[in-house]
Amino acid sequence: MLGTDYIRILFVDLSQERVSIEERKDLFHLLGGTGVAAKLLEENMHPELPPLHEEQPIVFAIGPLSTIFPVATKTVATFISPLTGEYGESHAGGRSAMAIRNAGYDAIVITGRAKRPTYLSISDHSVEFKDARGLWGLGVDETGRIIREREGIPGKRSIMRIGVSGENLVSFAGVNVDTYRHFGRLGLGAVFGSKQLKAIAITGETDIPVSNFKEYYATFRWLYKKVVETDLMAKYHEIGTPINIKVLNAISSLPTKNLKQSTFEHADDISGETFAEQTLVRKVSCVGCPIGCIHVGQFRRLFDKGYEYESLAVSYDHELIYALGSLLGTTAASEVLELIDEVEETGLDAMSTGVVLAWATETLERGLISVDQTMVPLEFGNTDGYKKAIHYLAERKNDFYTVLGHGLAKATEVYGGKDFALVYGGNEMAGYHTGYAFALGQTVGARHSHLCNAGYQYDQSAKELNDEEIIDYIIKEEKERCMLTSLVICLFARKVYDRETVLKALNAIGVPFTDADLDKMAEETFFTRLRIKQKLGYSLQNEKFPKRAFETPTRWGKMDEEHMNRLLQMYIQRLQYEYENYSSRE
Amino acid sequence: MRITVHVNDYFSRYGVHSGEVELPTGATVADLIKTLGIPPAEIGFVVRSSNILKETQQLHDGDVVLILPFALGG
Repeated sequence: MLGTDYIRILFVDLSQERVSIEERKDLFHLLGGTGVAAKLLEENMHPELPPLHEEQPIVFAIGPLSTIFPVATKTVATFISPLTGEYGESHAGGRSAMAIRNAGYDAIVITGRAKRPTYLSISDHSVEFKDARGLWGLGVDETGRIIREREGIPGKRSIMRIGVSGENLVSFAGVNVDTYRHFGRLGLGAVFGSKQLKAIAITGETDIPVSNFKEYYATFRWLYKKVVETDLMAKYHEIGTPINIKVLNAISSLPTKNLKQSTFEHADDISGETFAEQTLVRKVSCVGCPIGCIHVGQFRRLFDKGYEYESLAVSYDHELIYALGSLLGTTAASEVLELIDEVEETGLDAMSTGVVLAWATETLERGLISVDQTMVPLEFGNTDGYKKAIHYLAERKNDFYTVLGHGLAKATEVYGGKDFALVYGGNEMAGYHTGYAFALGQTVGARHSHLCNAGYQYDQSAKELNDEEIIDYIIKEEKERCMLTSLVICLFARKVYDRETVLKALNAIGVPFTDADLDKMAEETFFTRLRIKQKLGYSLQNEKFPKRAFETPTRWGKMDEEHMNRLLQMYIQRLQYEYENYSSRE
Repeated sequence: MRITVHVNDYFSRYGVHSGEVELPTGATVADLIKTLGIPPAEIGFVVRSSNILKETQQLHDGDVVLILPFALGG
């Protein structure tokens, strides 16, 4: 808690409708965010119970820099993932970090299961358990609108909510945050659904106690200028991450049509430049960020005969254009937006949705399943078919979509097709078929995200491939990110927040950390996550890479499966060595 | 020699746009980048006929090259 030496945690028991508050000095050295959320998950989880058991916790945590320094916008959520059955961590921005800060908490732990559909209304002076029976079954947009009207306080409150996919416990359902941001990956939406928790509205008016305002303000101004007056973040504002489509396509790294290809003949039709020219209507930011990286595109939808159109706006970025664009063979920017809209409304994770539908399309092509099962002829480029399939998936319309809703790893156990299932570490693939470091990085990353260690960056910038260097990079980067996501900054700002800047910011608000303190907390968090995974029965030794990844060229040409497996074993050995060293020191 | 250069929109901030560039015979990729005035650290890839070129590689009259930044992400 700012101005103190403890972490202030709100505990919410949905079963008993009770709350309590703890102030934990012993967590202060972990800063917040990932560090605190991982520790609280470890303390409150029940490894012997399934991920969606009511006693399993949801943890949210913000950090010491949240809201009061530029681009420190994210909230970290930890949970047991219903998709992978092990450690779940997801990040979202919007107004969430500001609202939790203003409500007076550093972290929130939610356990139990509400007796009826409920939404939580949390403020600095109360926690209310509100009846959400009337919201159950509604989409993300309508749920948000109704809660906004009920709760009021526009601009200062954050609303996290799920769609029908979360209610129906789809393993990769996400949680929408303030319309344009998401706890997307690993199924937090299903955990909400399992607790009959439709939404959380958070607000507050708590003062932010800054003891040395002069020093804080000078540091803030310096940091603000670094963000807006240098080139470090400008690229995220301009075309944004969709600039990747043309780049990855040119270097044979754009997963296309279930990764049968790594270049897309229609890449120019769904490129960032095309999105900007044809659909972009505004750019918005999370609270506390001056960048405006959230690109919002508009499309028309015919809703009735007689030329009755409505215009709809959804946010887009690289991962969405990859998963619902190139991977599904979608040939127009407006059609990608239509698919994004369906995913948004049902509350699914866009990346997993695209990957499972691409797999289903190829599985249907190969005759392993039939149209009777898919209920619609899934074909690459057939947007209308995919729009229907997204709803069938969210609604668990039949046995096939029910199985698919458990994620691709489980679907292949029932229907086969494992060789062309784009799964790394139990999680559906991100949009960078760049080479060995990406494939290894997503597999070994604690949350099986390309963001754990950014292997795709190594693949792009390396002059030559070097196995030792890849292992070094992946481990070093993941530890550093443990620190950055404990502050909690947006990872787009990672080049702004170098060590010197982090220390300057912390010291300006009276948190007297040193470089060694940061190293220590990063290391502790890195191994806390590993320990949680072990307690949940996870082992890297069980990991297998999809055969398809070795059939389709990357930026480095075709990868060799033996080489990849050797890299994994090298990583495992190095991790064991580091863990033993760490354990002996602690 | 004359090279046709397709420059990604990202580099318009440096006042660089697609077009033709005159270079002395034997010029390399590094020479092209210097001529264009793009900071080398900002360049991710120079691609000719779907092949990624190294800085030291020579260009030839009539070459068509793509100049791209690195792909972004979190």
